[in-house]
Amino acid sequence: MTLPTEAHELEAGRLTSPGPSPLFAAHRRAWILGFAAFAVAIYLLTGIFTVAADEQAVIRRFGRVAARLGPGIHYRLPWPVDRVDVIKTTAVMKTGVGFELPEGEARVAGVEILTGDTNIVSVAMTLQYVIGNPAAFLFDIETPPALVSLVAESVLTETVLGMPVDEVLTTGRLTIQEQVKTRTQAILDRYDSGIQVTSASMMGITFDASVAQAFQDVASAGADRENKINQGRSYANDLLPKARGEARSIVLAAQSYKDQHIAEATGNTTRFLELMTEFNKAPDVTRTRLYLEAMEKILPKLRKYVIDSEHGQKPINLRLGPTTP
Amino acid sequence: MKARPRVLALVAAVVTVTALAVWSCFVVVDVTEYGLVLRFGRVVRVVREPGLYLKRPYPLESVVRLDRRLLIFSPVTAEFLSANKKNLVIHSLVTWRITDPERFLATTADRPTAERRISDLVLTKIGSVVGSHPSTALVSVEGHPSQFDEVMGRIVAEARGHAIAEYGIDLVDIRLRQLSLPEQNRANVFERMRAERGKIATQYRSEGEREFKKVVAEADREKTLILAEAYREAERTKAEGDVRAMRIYAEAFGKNPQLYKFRRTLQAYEKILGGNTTIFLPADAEVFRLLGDAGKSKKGKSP
Repeated sequence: MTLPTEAHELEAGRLTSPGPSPLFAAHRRAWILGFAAFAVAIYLLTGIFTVAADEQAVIRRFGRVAARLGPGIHYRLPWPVDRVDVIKTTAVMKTGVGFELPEGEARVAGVEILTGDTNIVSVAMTLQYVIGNPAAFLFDIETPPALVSLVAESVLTETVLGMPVDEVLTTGRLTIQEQVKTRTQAILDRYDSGIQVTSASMMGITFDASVAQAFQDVASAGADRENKINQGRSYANDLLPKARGEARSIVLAAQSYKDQHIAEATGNTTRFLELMTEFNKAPDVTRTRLYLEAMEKILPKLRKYVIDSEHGQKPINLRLGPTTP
Repeated sequence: MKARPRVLALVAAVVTVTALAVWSCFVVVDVTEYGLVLRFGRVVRVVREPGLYLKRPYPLESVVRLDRRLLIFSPVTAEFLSANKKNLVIHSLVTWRITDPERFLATTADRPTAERRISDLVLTKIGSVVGSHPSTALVSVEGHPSQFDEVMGRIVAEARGHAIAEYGIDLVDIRLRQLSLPEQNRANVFERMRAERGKIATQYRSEGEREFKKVVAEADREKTLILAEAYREAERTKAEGDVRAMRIYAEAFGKNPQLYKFRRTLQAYEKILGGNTTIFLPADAEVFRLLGDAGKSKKGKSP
């Protein structure tokens, strides 16, 4: 009560330096009361606050958690009675494991870990989490983001320690992500942290520069192996259809050989049988005719000597004579 | 006129001091802290629940606040010797909270001191527990989570009781943040890793080669089989054709073998006897039968 009065006296003194203004003097009490009311109103108005759609507010009255409020415009008693903390609960928060997240994500090295078979790898992960219980998040843990990151790091270390490097590089990736997520969550629950881990994802696995080449080579050896096998398969895929085609054409050729021979046989015998019918009608004449026809065809092309077999032995002489075969 | 400001100043001073004294009677203990009310340095009240409390004004009683939240502490990285004489570099993570504020205030008082104490305690326990286990209890391909948990569990159990009893500190958890090998061993590890990778790469490549050869050989063999099968099939078909043709011929020609023989012989002649063949014909050959007067039908030929 003393302060405003003094201020007014000062103000009044400055404003009315020649002498007390009659207007002010007349309403002095009203001025003081008005100013006091104004100050109280301002003080009370400081208790108004808003909570955005993705936020929640926790109110502490004399240090004790009194209320948890959702989005909207709210009122609390001003300091020193109530204190309010507004935090984003629906927003997903992200933290890096083994590195600081805001850093350039391109050169994330991660944390160096020993695998079960004593290989040294660097693993970088990111963890996403939401705040499940704002009060616990705000008041039960010293630095929640750091805690999430450190616990996840320890779980990662623990998980990779029980795995051979080949598993870490291949099938183990999913296991690691799953383990880091569930076990980190279990530990955070044990701490009553109010944190809900939504996902753990591996950013990358890297190796020391001196061994990276060797790991690269294993990968390319794997690719070489696949290539070679595929090469073999494509050889087989090329060869076998061709062989089948060839086989088919062999069989078809045989088939046509068969058909041809049967057809020929049928043709020949048909002709023969027709002939036979005619022949049977006049066997002698036909026989002679056939013979003579054949001879007519054959003999003109030949050199021939006719020998009367009953009268001499000429053939020998003739053979020694003008004709030599 | 002169006495009035002096009186006013005195009144103002008294009012201010009184206000401050009254103000100091009220103590707000936050949810994140313990409040300890000290009377001339001696703890007279421990406030564990948050809220508004009254105490005697300032010079008589004062308040010390201690954090009751879960606190995080990472002791320095240290090297430990395992039971099988392997050096392990361990970076641990300790989560702790104050559970006995009175004891904490009496023995450690502030956080740096507390962390120093925790560090000493935890590193000692890690040293003794790790020293009594082989390194394979922690680093193992077989995945012995039980062994790992057992080791960590022993460390926590041994350190915990001590911390509560001595300092009023609850060691909530001790975890392995990082476990690595000493700097001087790294070169060896990398050397071994390279050798292992080299072996695997060679194995992959030779596996590829082997598989390639196998596939090719199988294909070749199958090709041979296919062709052999086709050949068998073809020969069988041809034989069928031959048999059928033969049967047709035999059936037809069997009806008049004489005629067949005769005709076939004539056909054969047409083929056998060509331009440069010389033939001697007996005069009584059938061609000439009408010239002579023979009854026999005899043919002769010479190539």
